[in-house]
Amino acid sequence: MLEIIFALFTLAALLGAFSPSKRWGHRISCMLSLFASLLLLDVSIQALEGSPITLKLLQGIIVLPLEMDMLSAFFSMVFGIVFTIVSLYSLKYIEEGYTDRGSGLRIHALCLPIFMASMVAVILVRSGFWLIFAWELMSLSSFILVVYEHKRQDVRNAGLIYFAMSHAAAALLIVVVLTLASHTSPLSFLYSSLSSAYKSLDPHVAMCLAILFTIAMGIKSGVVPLHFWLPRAHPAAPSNISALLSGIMVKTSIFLLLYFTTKIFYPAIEIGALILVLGILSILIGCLYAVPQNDCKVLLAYSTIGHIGYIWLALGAGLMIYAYSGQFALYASLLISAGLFHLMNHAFFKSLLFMVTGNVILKTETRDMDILGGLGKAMPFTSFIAMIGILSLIGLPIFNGFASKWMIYVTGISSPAMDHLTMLIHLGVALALFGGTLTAIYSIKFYSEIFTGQSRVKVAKGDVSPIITVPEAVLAIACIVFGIFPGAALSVIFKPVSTLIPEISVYTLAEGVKFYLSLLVIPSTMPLTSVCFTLLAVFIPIAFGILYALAHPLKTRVEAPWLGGYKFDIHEIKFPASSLYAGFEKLVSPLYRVKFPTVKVRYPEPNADKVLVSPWVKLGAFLGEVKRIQVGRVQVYVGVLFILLIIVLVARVLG
Amino acid sequence: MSVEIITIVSTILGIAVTVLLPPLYDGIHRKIRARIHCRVGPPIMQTWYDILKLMVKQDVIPETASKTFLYAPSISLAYLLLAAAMIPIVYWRTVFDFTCDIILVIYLLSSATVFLTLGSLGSGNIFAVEGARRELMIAILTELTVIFSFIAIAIRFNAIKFSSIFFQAMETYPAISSIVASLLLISCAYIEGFKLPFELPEAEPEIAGGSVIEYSGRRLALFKLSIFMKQFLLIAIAVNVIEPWSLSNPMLGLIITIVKVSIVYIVFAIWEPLFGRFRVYEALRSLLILCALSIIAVILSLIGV
Repeated sequence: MLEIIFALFTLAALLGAFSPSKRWGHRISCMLSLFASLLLLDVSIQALEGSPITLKLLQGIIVLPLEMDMLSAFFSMVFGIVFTIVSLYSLKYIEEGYTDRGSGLRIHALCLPIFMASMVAVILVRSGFWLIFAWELMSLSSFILVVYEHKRQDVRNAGLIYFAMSHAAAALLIVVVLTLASHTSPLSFLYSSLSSAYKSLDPHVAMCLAILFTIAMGIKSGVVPLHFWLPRAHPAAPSNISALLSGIMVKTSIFLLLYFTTKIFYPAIEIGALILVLGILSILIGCLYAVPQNDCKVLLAYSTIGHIGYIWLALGAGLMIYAYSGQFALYASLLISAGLFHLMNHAFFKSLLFMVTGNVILKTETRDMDILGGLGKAMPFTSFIAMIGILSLIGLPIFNGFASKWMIYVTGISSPAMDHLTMLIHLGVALALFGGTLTAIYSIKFYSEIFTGQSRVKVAKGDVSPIITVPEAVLAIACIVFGIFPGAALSVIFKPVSTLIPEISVYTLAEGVKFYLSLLVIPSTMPLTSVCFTLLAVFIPIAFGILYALAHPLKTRVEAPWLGGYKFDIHEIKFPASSLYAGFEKLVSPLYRVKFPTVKVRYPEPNADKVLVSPWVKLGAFLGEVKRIQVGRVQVYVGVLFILLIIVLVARVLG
Repeated sequence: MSVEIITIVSTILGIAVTVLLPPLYDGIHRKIRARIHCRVGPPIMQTWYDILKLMVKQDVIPETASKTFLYAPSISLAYLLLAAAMIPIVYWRTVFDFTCDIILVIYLLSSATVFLTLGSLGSGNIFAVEGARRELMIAILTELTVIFSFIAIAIRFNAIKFSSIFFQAMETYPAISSIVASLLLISCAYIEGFKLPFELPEAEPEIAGGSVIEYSGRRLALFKLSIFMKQFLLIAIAVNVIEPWSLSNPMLGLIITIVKVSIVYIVFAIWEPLFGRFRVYEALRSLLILCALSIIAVILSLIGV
């Protein structure tokens, strides 16, 4: 089955790139990716039900082992869902918004399936050699997609920074893999051999390798202070690609982090603490920097940094507790489950929100929230979906973001006493709670500046095409369903976690949830329903009942908004997004002046021109000269033949 | 009476108190303030009369309003009702007794703020946007204070659910850290209730009602009720942490809680006329002091004072 998925993705790429019609090539590519994603989803669900799939291709040192164990299957399931949605969304989105970009459609049709396939490959391969290959393929294909609008200087800059940072991560990964492989005999890149090689290493070297690996994954996840590429690259890409980058690609590095730290390296408190601290920093900086952004996609990109921080916080705390003592394994596995749950939810609502921004860009061709506004009237369905997205992002009770964030808080707070380490986790939870407040602040800004109030651009009425909005609606439904029935998601997540931490079975975890997280699950009566939802199901009708039971006999009167008695053109007095939280930004301005490391972009273009481009230009000019002899007169051709004949004769005589 | 029945009755009693009392307290507040101004002032029931009258008024809706404007007050009221059901107001435990319900309550209270501001922002009126942004900026810092105060209380009693906290509080003496944290919660309640000098979101003379400018009729009534309820819930938690012994009996708890909260509101009423309105930046800067104090409360509770 796995080879069919990869074959389908490859076929999609080839047909997309080489079919005679650009437009149809793009469509075929998207449809084939859709089928491949659905197949991936199907296979992963089968694997989660207890039939792991293993596959070995090629032989010798470059043997390519693919394995879909429980952890890969869980990630594949999330990937499958989001890929399906994004394939369907790309179908119309790229055609409507980006048709006038030359060969763009073809490049998109070529790279999108390759990008998806390489991300799946990263989580399925079980050999260091092929891991590096898949990783590089992922970096390259995503780089090409990021610089889709390569005519814009800022997009090129962002793309190059992204490319440089991807390769910094790849370099560290190569160092780790090669060091481990050099200690195997006979030489083997299989994860199992790497694992035994790691265990035979000197502890200090082993620790260094684990730290290098964590940093590599940190670069790719965009945790602070290695995050600077993320808020540039993610917004620069077209929105469907941003959805994949923010929703899925950063998760591949989290998969590797979890897989390597539990299965290849041995658990170490230091590594767990490093992950935890990076997570806390990401939450604070990501959420704080999202507040003053005026570009809605940059805002979402910073928000991704914050939410990746939540996941790293949970995983780091879990790994740390597990490494501290095996008897706390239950807490550790609950924390890791919480992290994975949040990972899944984040994949859903962040992809959703990036795609919603895509709708906005299609409609208005701007991302600047100073100009945007009032789109709720023109795009009612989009604004409704966006509302669900931001409520999940904030994590209001009954939305999925709440279930997973709350689980992180609770398992973090109730973690067992371990000297000063517990205090670190508690501090992390406190700051994560504050991060939740900041999340609410920037989410409200995102929604209100785009969909409510007044706009400075005039937009035509009418929502974007249903082919674009319906896939988004599916994700929005997923956000609500996993918020109302978190137990359903948890019962899936416990399977991979119990394979990572063998001391704890799925049953123990389920019992643990009943004990620690009774709010999420009512044990006996309604096995999967969250208590929150049950209670709100009672109170919301009461609150709305007050509103509608007392309906006034007179009809509701609609009036112009009251503007102090003056008559303004309502479009002229929009409150700009940049000054929405000006007071707060001034208050914490020292924090915004922190200098994070960054890389400068310098173009090697002049030299590259000399070597790569100008010979071809000269050749073209020469051929243009040659063309002059084709004038259409027989006498000239006879003359040319005559001259050639003389040359041949002379050559013959001389030679 | 068995424990279950007492718990159920006290939960219902708690919700009823949360809905019925806050407007009454606002009436007392207005009366005392009027007396300090040397006015006669409205009757104590005046706020309730206002709400009941608004309930039967015709709705006027701005043409720029979005759906969030229409539904936000009801949803925030629902979240607050849920919070009222989870916070032990008259008895040391409620029916909904879960691990870590403290964090759920923090979320429910801020959910109410989120929806109220979304409602204001959805009205399409620029004064409402100004009011909502002030409310949100204040909310960032008060939320930080609330979070750290709750954490200080949780560390003090080494528990993360209300029933354990109040059960232990009834057994032991109050500590400095939990009292400081409670006082901070009360200060946050004062600020979130839009009282002078923090009356920024509504600032009648300046931005003409701000966040409520476009609301009218039933929606205005629910909006006002939500603000009152949110304030009341924070105060109720704080005073119950300071004086938890009366919570052993729902009837005693009811009476004593009413008295305790009355004292707080009377202090509020005497406090408020002393101030003029802060400018936005001044208000935010002064809130930093509260944040710092809340961190001190956490440190005190870690030391064990």
